[in-house]
Amino acid sequence: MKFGLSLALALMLLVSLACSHRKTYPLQGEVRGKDLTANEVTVNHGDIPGFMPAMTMPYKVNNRAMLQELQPGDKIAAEIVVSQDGNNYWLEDVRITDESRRGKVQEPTGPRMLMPGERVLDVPVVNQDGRLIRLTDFQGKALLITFIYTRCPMPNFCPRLSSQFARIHDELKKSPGEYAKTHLLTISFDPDYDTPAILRKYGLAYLDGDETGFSHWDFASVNAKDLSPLAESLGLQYERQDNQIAHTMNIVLVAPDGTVRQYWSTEWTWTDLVKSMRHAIHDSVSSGEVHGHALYSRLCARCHDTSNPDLRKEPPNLHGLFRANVLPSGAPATDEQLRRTIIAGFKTMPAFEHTLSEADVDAIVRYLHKLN
Amino acid sequence: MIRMALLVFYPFTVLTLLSCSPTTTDQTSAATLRGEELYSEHCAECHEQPHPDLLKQPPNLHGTFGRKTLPSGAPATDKQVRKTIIEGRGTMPAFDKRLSNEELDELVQYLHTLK
Repeated sequence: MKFGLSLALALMLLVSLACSHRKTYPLQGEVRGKDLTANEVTVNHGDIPGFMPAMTMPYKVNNRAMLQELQPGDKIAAEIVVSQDGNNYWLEDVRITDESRRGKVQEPTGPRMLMPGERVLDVPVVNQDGRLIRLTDFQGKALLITFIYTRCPMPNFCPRLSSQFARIHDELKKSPGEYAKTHLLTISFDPDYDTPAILRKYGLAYLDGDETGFSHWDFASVNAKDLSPLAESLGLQYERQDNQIAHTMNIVLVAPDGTVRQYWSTEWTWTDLVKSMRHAIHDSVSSGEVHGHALYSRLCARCHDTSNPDLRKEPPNLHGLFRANVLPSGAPATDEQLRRTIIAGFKTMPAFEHTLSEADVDAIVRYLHKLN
Repeated sequence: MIRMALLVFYPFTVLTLLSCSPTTTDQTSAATLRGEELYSEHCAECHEQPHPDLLKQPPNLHGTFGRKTLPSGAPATDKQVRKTIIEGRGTMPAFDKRLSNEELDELVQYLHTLK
């Protein structure tokens, strides 16, 4: 019996050692909701140093039986496991630590506003041709979305939005490459009046009669059922009052990978928006590059981006590193040299060999190319 | 002689005064006033000031009925103006559900007076 137990413990130790290249972080928080089809629980948690600041967000839970048990209001503890390439994370060892507030928290009524980096919802809208299109149809393009209703009589609101979108459209049209990689989507939240025919008429007015423009700029309506999740996910607030609809001004840029990139409300010019759209298609921000940025912020910035009088030698500034032919050390400014420096360290700079995987180092090097 | 003249003058004056019937003109002025309010509320914001943000500048509406055609080129008739207000036109929004028939009448009436 004792032998069996020791063997089991030894095996567990071996297994945990073998898995030590995975990173884990402790999670403590409160369940706010769950999605059984997506295998996710939404948790409100505090700061998780090195991983995530305090927030409410969904986490994948692989143990479905456990997920089924969880209820809003439950306090839980778990391990957040991050995959080696840093792109995936999920919860393991989820345990309920306090059930006393179960049911006392209201489940979120719908999706909360998406953060930059999160995927847009797969919501259908009906465009000026009467065709069903989805927000997820535009992967590979930078998509600029805004919300209007055609009967809006206030020149500084919807007419301004559509007028400025028209300017953006005209500007992007000047470059066939940019035109092909961008798209505009004006969504009406007044589907009763804004039928495809009305939207077509409205769209043609802003396209100056050129219906080929519809291939680049869709004017669509969202139906009553989809309006609420769409609006909440993209931060639009609206309210029907008498025969008017009061709403917030809201513009969203979706990156070519289908994730939210940036939001604007009232402070913007059409040139700001075009610039951001151009960055979105030229940067080709992939999840790998977001990861490089995250690693840099967490591991490099605190030495290289702030002056620390305690240090014997001032860590060199890394902005614009690849603009020169040599690194601060005098070594050639090549990826290989940089990798070596990060992995092995350099004089008073520590070695990151055991902290970073090869993929992590690659991500940081890629990020440093962009750091100006 | 003077007494004769006065005898004719006073009744004539009274008759004239009586014939300036207060009822119909007062109603018309009231309607025009309401029309002016409606214009201020619904139209002035676009049509009375320049809007560099807008793709197309809303036309000035002063003297709308003083010309044969509207800015669009359509005939300057009540019917045409009503149609434009209700349905919108190009980048002008539709006021279909926003104004009652009575309000539309008052607005059009006011536009006649807008020089």
